[in-house]
Amino acid sequence: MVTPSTHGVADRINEQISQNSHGRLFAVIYIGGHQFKVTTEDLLLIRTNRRFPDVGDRICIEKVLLVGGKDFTMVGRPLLNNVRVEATVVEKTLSHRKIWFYFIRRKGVKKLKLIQDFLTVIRINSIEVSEVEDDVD
Amino acid sequence: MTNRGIPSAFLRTTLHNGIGRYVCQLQRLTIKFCKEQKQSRGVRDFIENGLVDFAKNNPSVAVYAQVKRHRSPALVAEYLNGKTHIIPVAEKEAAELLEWLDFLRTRSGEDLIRMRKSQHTFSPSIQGAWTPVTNKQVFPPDFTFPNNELFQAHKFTESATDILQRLARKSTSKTD
Repeated sequence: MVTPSTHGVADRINEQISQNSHGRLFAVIYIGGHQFKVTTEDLLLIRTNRRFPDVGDRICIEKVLLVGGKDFTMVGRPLLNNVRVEATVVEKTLSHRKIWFYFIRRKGVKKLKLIQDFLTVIRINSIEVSEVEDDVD
Repeated sequence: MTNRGIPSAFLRTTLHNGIGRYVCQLQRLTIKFCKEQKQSRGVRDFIENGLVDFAKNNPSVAVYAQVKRHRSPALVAEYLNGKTHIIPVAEKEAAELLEWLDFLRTRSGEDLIRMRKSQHTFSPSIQGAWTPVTNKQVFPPDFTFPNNELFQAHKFTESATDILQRLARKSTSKTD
C-alpha cells in the first residue's frame, strides 16, 4: 500500500497564491499570551497595558503560528514568516469590576478589592500570504 | 456574586468600526464644575491649562464646559451608540483628570460588563466544520473485512523489492 508522496504540494499551494484563488484565509496568531484562530473582520479582546498602541493605529501581528485556506494549511515550526496579518486597534477600555473577597470566619479578617483590567479590542483587517519555498525532502 | 449572576454581553462594535477606517466613538464631552468650591479645583486647573490642547487633538469631539454652582464636578461623555458615561471627579488633580479623559476617548461607549467570549467572527469555519468522518478513509461497498492491506506499514516511496516485483509481474503478463 503506497501512500502518495508530498512532492509538489508546495507548488500547488504557490499556484493558488500566485493566482490569488485561495479565497478567504484564516490564521492562528499569538497575542497577549493567548492563541486565537482568526480570519479577516474578526474582533479580539486581549488583556494589555496602557502602553499598547492608541486607538485607530494599525498594527502588524508578527507571531503567526498557522495559516490556511479552503484547500491547504501551512503550519509554522513554530512561526511562519511568509504571512502578514494586519489589525486595527478599535477600543481601549476597562473590564467590569471583578470582586476579590478574602474572608476568615470568626477571626475578624475581611478584605474586599474591586479589580478592573485593561482591555484592548482589535479588528483583524487583512491576512496576506506570500509564496513558500519547497523544503520538503 | 457569581459570574452567572451578573449582566453579560458578547463582543461587538458600533457600525462595524475598524473594518473601513476607525471612527472615534466619543461624540460629546461635557465638563461640569463649580467656580467656587474646593473640590472643583483640579477641574478648573485643567480647564485653564489642558482643555484647549485636548480639544485641538480631538477635533471630532464636541467639548463643553458647564458651570454648576455648588455641585460636585463630573465628566459626562456621550457616545455614537447613544449611551452616556458619567465620571465624578471631585477632589481629582488635573493630571488624573487627563487620564480619565483618555479613558473616555478610547472607549466605544458599550457598558462595562462581563464579556462572554473574547472573540467575535462573521465566518466561523473556512475548511468546514469537523465531523467524525473528516479525513477518514472511505471504503468501497464491496470491500471485505478483515483485509490484510489495512495491516501493512505505510510506504512513502517504492522500495527496491517493490520495483523488482512490479517488473516481474510486467514480464510475466507479457509472456502470458
